[in-house]
Amino acid sequence: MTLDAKQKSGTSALTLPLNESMFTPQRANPEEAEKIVRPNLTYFQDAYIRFKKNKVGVVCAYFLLFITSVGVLGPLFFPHMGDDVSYENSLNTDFQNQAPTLGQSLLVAEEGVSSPDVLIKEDLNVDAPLKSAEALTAPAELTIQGKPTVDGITLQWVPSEGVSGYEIFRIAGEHIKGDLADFQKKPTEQGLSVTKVDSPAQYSYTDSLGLDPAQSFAYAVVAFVVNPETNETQYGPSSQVVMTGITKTISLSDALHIDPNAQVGGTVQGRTFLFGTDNLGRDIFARMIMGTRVNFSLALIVPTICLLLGLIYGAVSGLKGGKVDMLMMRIIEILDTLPYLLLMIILQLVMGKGMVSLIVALCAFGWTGFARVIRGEVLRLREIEFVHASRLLGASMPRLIFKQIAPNLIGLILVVWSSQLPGVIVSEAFLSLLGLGLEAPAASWGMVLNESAQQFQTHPMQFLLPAMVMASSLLAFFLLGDALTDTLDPKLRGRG
Amino acid sequence: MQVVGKGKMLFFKYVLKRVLLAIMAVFVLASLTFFLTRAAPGDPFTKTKEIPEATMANLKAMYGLDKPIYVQYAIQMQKIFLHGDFGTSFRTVGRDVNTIIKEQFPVSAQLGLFAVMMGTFLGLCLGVIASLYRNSAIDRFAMLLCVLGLALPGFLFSYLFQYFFAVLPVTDFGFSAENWLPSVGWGSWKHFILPGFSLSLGVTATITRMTRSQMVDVQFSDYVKTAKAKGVSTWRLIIIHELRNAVLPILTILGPLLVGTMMGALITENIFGIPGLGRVILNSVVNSDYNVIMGVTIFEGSFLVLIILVTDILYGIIDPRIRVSH
Amino acid sequence: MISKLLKMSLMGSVLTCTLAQDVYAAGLSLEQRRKAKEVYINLIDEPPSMDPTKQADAVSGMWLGHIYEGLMTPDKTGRNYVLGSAEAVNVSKDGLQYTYTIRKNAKWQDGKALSAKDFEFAFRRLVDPKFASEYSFIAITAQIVNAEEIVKGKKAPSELGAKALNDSTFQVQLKSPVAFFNSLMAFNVFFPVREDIVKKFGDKFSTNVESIIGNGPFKLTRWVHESSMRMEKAPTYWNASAIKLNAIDAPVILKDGGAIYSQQITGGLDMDMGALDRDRLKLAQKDKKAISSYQDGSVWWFEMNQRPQKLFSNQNLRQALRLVLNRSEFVNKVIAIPGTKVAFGIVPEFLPGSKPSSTFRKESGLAWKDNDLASAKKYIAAYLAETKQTKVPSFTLLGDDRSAAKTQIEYLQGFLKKAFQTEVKIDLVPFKTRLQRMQDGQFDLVMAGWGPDYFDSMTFMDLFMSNNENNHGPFKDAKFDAMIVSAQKENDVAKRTAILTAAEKYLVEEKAGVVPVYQRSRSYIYSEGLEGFVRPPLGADPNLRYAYWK
Repeated sequence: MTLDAKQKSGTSALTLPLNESMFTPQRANPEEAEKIVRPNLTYFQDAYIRFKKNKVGVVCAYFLLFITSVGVLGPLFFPHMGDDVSYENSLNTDFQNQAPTLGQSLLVAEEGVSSPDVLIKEDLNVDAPLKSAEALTAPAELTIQGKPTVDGITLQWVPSEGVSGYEIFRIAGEHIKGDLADFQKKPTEQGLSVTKVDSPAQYSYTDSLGLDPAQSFAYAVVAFVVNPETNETQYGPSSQVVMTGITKTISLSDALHIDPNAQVGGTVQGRTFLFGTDNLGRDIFARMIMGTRVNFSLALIVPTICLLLGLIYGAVSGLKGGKVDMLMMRIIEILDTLPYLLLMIILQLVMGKGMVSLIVALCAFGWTGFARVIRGEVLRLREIEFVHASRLLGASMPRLIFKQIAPNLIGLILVVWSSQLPGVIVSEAFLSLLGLGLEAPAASWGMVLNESAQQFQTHPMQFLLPAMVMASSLLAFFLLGDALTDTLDPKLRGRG
Repeated sequence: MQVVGKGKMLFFKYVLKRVLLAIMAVFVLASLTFFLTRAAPGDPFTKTKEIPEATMANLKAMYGLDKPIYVQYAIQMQKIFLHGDFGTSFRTVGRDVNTIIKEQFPVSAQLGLFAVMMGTFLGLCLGVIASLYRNSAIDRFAMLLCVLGLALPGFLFSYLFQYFFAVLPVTDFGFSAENWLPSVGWGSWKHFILPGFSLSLGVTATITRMTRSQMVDVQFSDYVKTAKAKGVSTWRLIIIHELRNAVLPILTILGPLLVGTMMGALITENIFGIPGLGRVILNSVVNSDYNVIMGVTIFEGSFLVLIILVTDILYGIIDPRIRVSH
Repeated sequence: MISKLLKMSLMGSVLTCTLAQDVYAAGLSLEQRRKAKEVYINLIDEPPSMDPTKQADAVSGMWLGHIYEGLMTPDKTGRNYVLGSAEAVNVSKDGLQYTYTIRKNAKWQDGKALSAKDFEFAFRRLVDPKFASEYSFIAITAQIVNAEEIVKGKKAPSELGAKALNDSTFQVQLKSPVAFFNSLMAFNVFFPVREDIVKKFGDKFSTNVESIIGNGPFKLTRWVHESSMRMEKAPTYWNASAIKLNAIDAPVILKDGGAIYSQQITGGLDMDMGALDRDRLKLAQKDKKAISSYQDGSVWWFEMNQRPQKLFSNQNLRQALRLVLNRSEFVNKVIAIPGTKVAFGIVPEFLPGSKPSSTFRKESGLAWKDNDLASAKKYIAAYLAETKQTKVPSFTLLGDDRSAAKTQIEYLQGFLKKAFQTEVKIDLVPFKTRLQRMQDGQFDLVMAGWGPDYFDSMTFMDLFMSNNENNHGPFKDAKFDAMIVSAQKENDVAKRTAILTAAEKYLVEEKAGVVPVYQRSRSYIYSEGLEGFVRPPLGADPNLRYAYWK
């Protein structure tokens, strides 16, 4: 106590350059030495401080947090489609293969427009003798009737006698070589034969074969005769070509979801498709968001199941020791040498597609890594006194595992656990690309990639954008795993 | 004398244990695939056209499918382990699985070898350079490549490479990459490049990372310091003193890397139309061709087991501590 | 160490490259092929069996149709059948006896003369239960005397009503007249097979080049399994002067549509056995390739599980499905292959009617309003009233997991969900599994197709008889069965066609036992200047026998 008083007086006397206390020798103070000066940090507080210093890790964590929240919250903002079909699965043939768009102006069209009736010239002599190919004349006055939409472009021409029928050729505006005259000269070579009209009396046709709303089309109608003996088709010349764009439409019921006041003939502002739409007119961005839910929950569930299996297996093996341990380790060694990719395929084949079978296939061979690591740690830990003590006090095996062993492994477990996350996403994509994985039309990243990979050459953006999302998430997971290794388990730093 | 003898005995025991384990592994694999494939839906003779019952019975008898499952199992295991015979394909009449493997495996192996060799070569070069110029731009580049190669699956690169080096038409980006390299097919050296490189990225990344960390470790060791002090030339130092020691652990992972690359090539083989085992697997999956699935899985599995066995033994030779600890 | 490794990896890459070249020597360029009169085609698959009697599938059929020749053979249009290995055929007045005279100059490719015995051997082999041909049923369809008993193991193969009277005369006895019998003789399971070769090779017959000796215009000269095949013009062929190509080569087996397409565009392949999918069709238009289309003869429909307790055993619901489908949207926007047509009947357009100038479809005239929502609603309401429910129970749509089929099923799922206001699940499985499920009755609704086996509407009509194994519903109706049986017995073509069109109408419109959706058409591109080939709905496809370079 006297010391305290002295110190106080000493501090108050600081103004003086020198005082007596400065010359009293310091003595060792056992109480003082035991005092904890810095704040007591838990393991996780310490890890958090270290993690914050890792810039890459922090950025990745924020990025993944962002993607996760988009996955969780995104579907809340999906537009309501008015039927049981969820938005990411709702298909619409009016919007097939759209490029990424923020919303276009669309013409509201009637519900289920039936194509106009085919026009037949009744007074035409159908049985008139066939002309020779050289004498064939081109069908005249080729015109477009009505408003051309994705539901159909109606052509009309003047029929003539002495032909077997008309063939209609089409070319997309952007594919026209040189100018239109070139296509007019050689429609049979350059154009896509849309249909063959088998009657000379028919003089109209509505084409709706895979019309892409982004394109314009040129048409040519060519008369032909079929030689009855050789069955050979000969074409006449084509004199007229007609070109048209396509008015982008939306059906009334769809339009009403966007604008309750929409009317047939009016226009509405179409939806935003950030990633465009796929070949059934589904919003790829929405599918990716739903995919995020699927993939991220897989990435959480699968390593967790593996972890539990591995924890139990590894702990039992390590704690039992002896022959049991040896046998259990041999089993793991055998499992580790199996070609797990092939077995995963076979497993999914046997169990069929779906979430459960996917999880089983992914977990079946993923837990051995955990078991190995945990067993090694358990072997180390079980020689430590508190475990001995707990055992002596009669703790049961589950208690030993979950109360004594597991908490001491938490850092290591987190490191191994986080390193498994990206692998799950890759495996899901791998299986989906092989046509396994989830059942369509469920949206997962692998499913979206698999669907868009089919049209990678015609619509590369449908593949590239989702692939970029997947690649950046994988990178983030990987780098975050690295950062976690550094912060959670400094012993592992720099390894592998 | 006695010590050496004991060491030899230990080593022999170690090898024996590994071999036994390897055989066990193949057996487990064979049994597993047998029962899994039999549990799969679909019968190899399911066809669109009706097959008369008598014919069906004969067909089944021909392939031994009419016997109870445990008899089938016994017969199959006997065939595989005593005669090395995987049976015949249900789909392609008269072709046995052994021939299929004999013809298709080399293709996969060539592609895998090419990818691993290319990856190892690039990885060693990059790793050495990165370790010499630590924290320089080239080191950062190497690390970026590592992250990309390790984090992203090979098939993603396959798609991208195919598109950007063989398909990309003029209209999309203002220049054309059409037919720079063949986008599909198999037969000339050109066909190796795209699939080979897309598969080798993972290998390159692994090797670069390992080489770099090993080299950094070695650079601080006493014998390198001594050599430096004695005035050994830089290149000699790198090649004779540093790399030699850094490369040993890398050698041991080459085998597993090769098998890993070959198996991961399944989708890549399909993207590039390569007639390897990957395609055989996919076809037999679609056709419920049990024998082929079994045969190929067991074959690839045994190959993997063998490689791991060799690696383990190599480890044992290089690092005597391992054989003692086991 | 590094230098050694370096050397190793460098040498290794060189080594692997040279090794790889042996697998398939780089082929001829398009120009070289024109000069050498060769055509490069793509096999979509390894042929499952090159034994002509064993089975029939598109890939094997394409090769067999060029390597062998039956008694009859398709003509240049691919749609009519003319004499092949036979120089004359004599049909008895009652239509029960066909006598073929084998061509004197017809030879096997090893120079041996073609004999009627070779046909006798092949026919007996086909029905022999020990040989277990998957196509033995076709001999029963052809009504060959004793075929059924032999297939069922009740009689010996030697009792078959198909006999070689001498080396040049082959006679077939039928139980009842079969109008299309001659066209059947062009089918690969009826091709001749030589006993001595089969004996010599045993199990290995037709598994490699040596064990395949045909009698047709081309000879197989290379077969690298899963990789490449080649056949060359056979000088021994009786009509060799009509054959203008020197070789047909399949330098690589490709399955992926994109891969095949880029090979065709770059001149690596002249033709593909398969067809362009929707996206490749777009690419082909972009690349301004001339696109051709042909109907492959197959018709696709919904088969409904009509077993008791199953949802679609209810006729009102089946009718609703028949009426509600928007076939034209499906065909134009989802399938989007030119030439594909909506189908209201189960028989495709190319099959003949009562006259050569007419077709079965024209005579039938079966059609109704597509996407008839109002009538469908009435049927659904009737179903709900009848079963006292407020909502249609959920059901499952079964389909193939191939990419094109997958898109279609996904569309249909969305469509049916809206139409029936209920949960529709889909089950996409591999082709074989789908067939298994259909046979086991594990489905509610399945999109299935059927391709013709012979040139007659019966190949479609008898499918829906109650005892047909491919009637997966099964649609069981005594009246329909009776109609088909009477048509089978009817010798007058006009009457027979009338019965069949009535039966089709009864099956589809009245009972909705099956709901037709579309007739498939396939689009393809080929190298400029290649002419004279045929893509027929039946037989070897493509048929390059009379093809030539312009």
